[in-house]
Amino acid sequence: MTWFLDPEDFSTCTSWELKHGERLGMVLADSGGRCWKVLAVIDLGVVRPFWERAFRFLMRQSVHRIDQRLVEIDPLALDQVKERACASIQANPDDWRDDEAIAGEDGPPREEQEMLDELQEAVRTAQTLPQLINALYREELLG
Amino acid sequence: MAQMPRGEPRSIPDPAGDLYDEMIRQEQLERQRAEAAATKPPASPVGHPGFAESLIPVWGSGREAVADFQEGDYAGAALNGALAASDLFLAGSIAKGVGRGAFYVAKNAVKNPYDWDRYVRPWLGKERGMLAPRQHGHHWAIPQNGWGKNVPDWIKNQPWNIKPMPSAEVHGRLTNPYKGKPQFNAVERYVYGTPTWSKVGTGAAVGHPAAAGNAQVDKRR
Repeated sequence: MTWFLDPEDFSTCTSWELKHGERLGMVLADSGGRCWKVLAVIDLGVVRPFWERAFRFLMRQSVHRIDQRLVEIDPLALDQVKERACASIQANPDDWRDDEAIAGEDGPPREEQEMLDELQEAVRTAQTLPQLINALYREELLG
Repeated sequence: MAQMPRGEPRSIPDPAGDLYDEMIRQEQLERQRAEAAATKPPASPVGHPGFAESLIPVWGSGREAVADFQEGDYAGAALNGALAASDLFLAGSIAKGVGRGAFYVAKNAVKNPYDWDRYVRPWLGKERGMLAPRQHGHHWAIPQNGWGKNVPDWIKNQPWNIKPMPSAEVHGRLTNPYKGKPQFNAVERYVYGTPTWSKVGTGAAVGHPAAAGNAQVDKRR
């Protein structure tokens, strides 16, 4: 599960995402409820200024411009999006877990499932898609 | 001065006596030189490195190891050989780290692109392959909490500061008691809580100047 900040963010991806086909088959949902599925991803080459490209090449995190072929699918209600988000949280605990909180570095040790449940609860209370992103990624998006 | 048979001083020159005295003196000097050579270790054809040269990783300790070996100082050769091997290990670790991506570089300008459990930890697990599924990652040098809260995430949430942990229990006991088990002592914290490359690096940081000093002593001998 991921989110895109703006069209530039959506139309670029890292070399690892490209190599592992992370975008292929991805279901996209916008704040208006419309949904699309990514059918194909075409690499248009590495972007960003020269020095950033050089640095990212060394760090193996080059950013590529991509062209994505989308097909519109049935819209998803916000509740459906939330349920999919909760299922993703449960299926991918490593993407959401604070190891230091579980280890008790800053207070009593916490249970992993308890923290995942709290996150899912925050997702379920979201009234809009931006609020859902805020709950998941600690953002402060308006809307 | 040569003496006459009855101990009286000579009144005339005695070239034979002077030559005899000189010959005895030369023989004594010769004997002293031979004794000194027998006790002194043989000089190494490679020679000991200078102080600055000793500080060069692999090369300095490697040359010192060869010089020690040639002089029959096997303990010194072993120690310097180990130092050279640790340098190679360190270089290998750095090369491996750089090869996999030494730093996480955020792609976009979200509110906190270096957030540990939302962006960096998933990257370390999936993309970089540093953490296995469900494996804990410990901020070993700059903690995520306590004084580490004042350090920007883009510095502390990087691979160099993360030590993969064998279990949640070991992770917990590094900083606090964990589920009824006591906190680790200082030695255990060092053993479990610092990466191997850091331990080797500390050894090299201490070992190189010490070996360089020792090389200077060997050189003067």
